[in-house]
Amino acid sequence: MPTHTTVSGHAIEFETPPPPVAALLARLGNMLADPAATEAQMLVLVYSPDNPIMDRSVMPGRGAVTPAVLADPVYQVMSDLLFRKRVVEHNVDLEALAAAHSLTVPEAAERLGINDSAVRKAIAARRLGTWLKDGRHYIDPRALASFHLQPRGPQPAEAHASTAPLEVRYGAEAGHTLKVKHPGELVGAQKRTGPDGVVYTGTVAPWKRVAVLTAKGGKGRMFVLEPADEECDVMIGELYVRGRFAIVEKINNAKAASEAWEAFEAG
Amino acid sequence: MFEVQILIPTKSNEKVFFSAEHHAAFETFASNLFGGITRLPSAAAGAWVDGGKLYQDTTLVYVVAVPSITRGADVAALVEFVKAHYAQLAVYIRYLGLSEIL
Repeated sequence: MPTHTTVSGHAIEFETPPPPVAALLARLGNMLADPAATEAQMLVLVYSPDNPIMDRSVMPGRGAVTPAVLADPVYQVMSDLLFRKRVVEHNVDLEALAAAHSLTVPEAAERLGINDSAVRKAIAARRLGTWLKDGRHYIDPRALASFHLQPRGPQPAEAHASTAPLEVRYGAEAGHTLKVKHPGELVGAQKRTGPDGVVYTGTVAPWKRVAVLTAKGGKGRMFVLEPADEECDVMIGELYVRGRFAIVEKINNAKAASEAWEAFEAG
Repeated sequence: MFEVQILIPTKSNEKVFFSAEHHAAFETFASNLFGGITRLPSAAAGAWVDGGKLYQDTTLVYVVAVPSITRGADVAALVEFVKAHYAQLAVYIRYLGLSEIL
């Protein structure tokens, strides 16, 4: 799985992209290295409706960044490439910018009057940007001023609990791990103890929002599921979550997935 | 549906640049509010005077699509977010051939 490290120290893992996306990433990389290419020229490519990762329906004739695009690690890579060009063009003092990110998560939480997990949740949801220093998140105090203004405007339609059950088989087996954060108790729960650990099977219902954490060989991924009409599944080895849902968020970086898992609240 | 352009500064009044992640938080807010946001390729070196004070900056131009004039309050909410997020006293927007400094 390819990995890109941002200027701010975040490691972004992403699935091997399809050829058109890979070609665009390569082209942007070349433009970053080319002193004759400008950020404006790169921006035209990134936000074009011809960029395969952009949404073409929200703004006719334009490539739009929707919540789904924001969650796409490839977009985060493209954003970083654009920013790197700005660094070069405008002689951005990266040391000063890194130093501006001076607050730890507990310090930010104290200033905001919330708990650490709420800050981590905001970081995972990209509502709060951070700079990684020695593996720890540091927050720019300037980012706190707008924090309590989120979210504003019309809220998404209230999520109705789905009665369509999720079929789950989770635990540890054959080097694979699958965990599920769900509301309520597992229905019809059966437990089996094997050489690698315990495996549970059963159903989850009703539910509005569930998180799934998978791991194999030290590589972890997290998925956030919401009810939908289509049959879908998340599988690793013989462990699975099956049912009618959509994956509304996917985190491929093991560390980010672990942090988001800790912050997640099922509903 | 009509488009609203909003000019975002690349650095603070103290001349410290904003990180890509800082802009991503703005993009998250705006895309949740309007369903999507995009940028135009005109990092305009702009200057304007408001209340006798000269504002000069290099800006990013973001665009949101507003479905109806009835969503005007959401545009105001976006402006208030930008003011707080970028520590700006004034925000420049363009829509339907008009310009406003809010």
